[in-house]
Amino acid sequence: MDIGVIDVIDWQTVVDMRDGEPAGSEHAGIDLASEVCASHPYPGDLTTEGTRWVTDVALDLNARYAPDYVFLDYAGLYLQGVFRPQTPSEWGGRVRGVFAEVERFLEATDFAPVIVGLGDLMPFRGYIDTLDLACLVSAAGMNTRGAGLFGPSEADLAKVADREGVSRVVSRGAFRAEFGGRDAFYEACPDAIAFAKPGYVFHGVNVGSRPLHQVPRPADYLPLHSPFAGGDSLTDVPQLVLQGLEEEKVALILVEGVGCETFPLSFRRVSNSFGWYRYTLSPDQYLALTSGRHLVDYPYPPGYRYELHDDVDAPYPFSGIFEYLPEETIGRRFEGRSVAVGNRSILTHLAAGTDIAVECFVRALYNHGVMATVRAEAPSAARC
Amino acid sequence: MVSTECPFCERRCRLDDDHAGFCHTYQVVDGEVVERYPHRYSSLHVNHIESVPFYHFQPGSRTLVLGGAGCNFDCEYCANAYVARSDPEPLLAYTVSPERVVALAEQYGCHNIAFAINEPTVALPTLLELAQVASEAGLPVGVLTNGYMAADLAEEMGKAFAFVNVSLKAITEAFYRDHVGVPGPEVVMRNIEILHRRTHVEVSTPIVQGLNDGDIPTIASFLADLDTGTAWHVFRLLPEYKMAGYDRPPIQDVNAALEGARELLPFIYFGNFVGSHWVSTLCPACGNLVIERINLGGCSAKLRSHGLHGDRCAACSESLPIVGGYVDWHSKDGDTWTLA
Repeated sequence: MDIGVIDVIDWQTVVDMRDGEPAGSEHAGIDLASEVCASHPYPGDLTTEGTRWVTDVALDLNARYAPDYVFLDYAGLYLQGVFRPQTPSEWGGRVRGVFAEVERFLEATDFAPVIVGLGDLMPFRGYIDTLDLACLVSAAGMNTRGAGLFGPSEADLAKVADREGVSRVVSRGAFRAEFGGRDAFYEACPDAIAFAKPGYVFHGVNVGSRPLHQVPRPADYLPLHSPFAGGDSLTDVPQLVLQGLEEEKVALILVEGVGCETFPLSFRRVSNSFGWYRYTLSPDQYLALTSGRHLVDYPYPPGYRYELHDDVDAPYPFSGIFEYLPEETIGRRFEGRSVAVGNRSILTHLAAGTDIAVECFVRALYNHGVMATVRAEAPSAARC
Repeated sequence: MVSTECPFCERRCRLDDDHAGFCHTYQVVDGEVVERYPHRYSSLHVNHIESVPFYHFQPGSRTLVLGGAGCNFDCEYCANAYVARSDPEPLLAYTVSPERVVALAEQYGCHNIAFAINEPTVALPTLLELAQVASEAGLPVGVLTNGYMAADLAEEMGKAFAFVNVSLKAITEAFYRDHVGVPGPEVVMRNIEILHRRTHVEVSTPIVQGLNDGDIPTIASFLADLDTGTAWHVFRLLPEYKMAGYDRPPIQDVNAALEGARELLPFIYFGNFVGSHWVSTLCPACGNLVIERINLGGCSAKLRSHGLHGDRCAACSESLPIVGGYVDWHSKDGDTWTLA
């Protein structure tokens, strides 16, 4: 059972994450999470203090809970780079600032750091409009590189394929033949998926309206800084971390908005690819890095239509579109004590799977507070 | 140069070639005040009607939520200043005819359409035309408004729109003058009365600690005099824009103030914060939980269960001021995925 502690400043509620209903709070981990949330109000996505918040909360959790595995994600670079104009010197300063916070955590603790940059940003080149297509187009989010086409005619397919910014259009059958994967992925999959060229994003229903300055660059490789040998792909990272945990305490640290061009530490390259598919910042990428499974092993294909799966009793209402918390993540597989902190809402608790996960509660850049997810049945959670 | 008075809101701006008015969305062409950005939108989203928020109109239904750009107010705490107080031109990325909006709503299985991100008065001709076309297709259209339109237009809106949520931000001149930028609440209160005579009205009030929390009893009294069945959405303000440094109101204090008001007005909701315990509807006659909702952040409430029989409490048959009864979120799925 996963319990959520939601703190909106001066007020908290405790919920069962699965059904969203109020839950009891008779668990030492909930008391701990409650104190941590109340002590660290989130300053907001577009502030530099959001980065400091991640480190502050991580140090607090480390002091209170003494975990062996820590998962951190720093989203500030991405958020500021996408939604705020940046000069090159400002950007360089922001990168240094984020890594100074990473360093602050590592210097104060004794974790072996496994640090992954989730990819560089690039200038936004343009929108790909979809409202003129006759078929239903699903491309939700703030910057979406894959649009689902439901019931497209030949004319729709031809029209979208010819559109500036579209790199390819792939039918569900062709995608399955090439990538395989679970039935659940294809049951939710559109009839066809259109993919954008680098720099372009889809526009239409359910797309955010905030102006974009940069977008994620689809990269062949991600930078990996690690004291442990091995690992060629982003999906190898979980095994790398789990093997490291057999010997010592490990911190897996994901830094959004930096890739091989801007990563300031020594690194080796790991593949960011799945066939021709290039991961960019997304749930797919987070889950590939933390569970070792590619996107086709989850039921959320590009162009996923959430409204078809939403319902009055849809599970995990505080976890966005996600229907369950994956069991394959490092935090779920590791039997020792584990915590996570991140200013990437939802993906922190989803991808971490740790005993305790603390994240900002932000939706569409609106700062609602802080949420901690506590695994009530975690082997070590009762020893708070 | 001859200037023309803008007839759309009670600011009554003088428009000419050099002056676009406060909202920057109207202009004078051949002596007539017309929209500068007809049929243009900044966003289209599919969402729960409770997220707009409307709690007493087709609960459970799926809404195509439209957003534009521009506003005739300058609320210092505005959460949507990036669309309300910015240059509209670059934001209005979509040009969509009324027929196309209706077709998209049908395609996405929506039961109604709501214009809810910025002020509808700044795009009124477009929205009145949309309401006409949507009505012919059987889709109700609603709006979320600050209520500062001209009286004759309030009448027209009341006839055109099936559901309206008016933001009554306070009930003192000082608040409206100092934090909104207009003389007082009288126009808004007048328009609430006009709209209420014509259509389904809900009211929203953002609470700013120390500035308008003392208005709660007076606003409740005004709304109770209007109609004790009025749904009143009290928001805990998340200060943004020029008030970003303000503290959030203490939830327990605001809720304590609302307890007294609930004796006058049974349908008071307190939200705009995640996990709120005060977003569900209880039957005022028997106390039965007739609509259970969950708050997922901001106004983003969602219906979880209901005990309605039409517009009546399923437990005691009390008639409730809920228009349209429960609507199944999925009832229009699969009707069509391809536009006509």
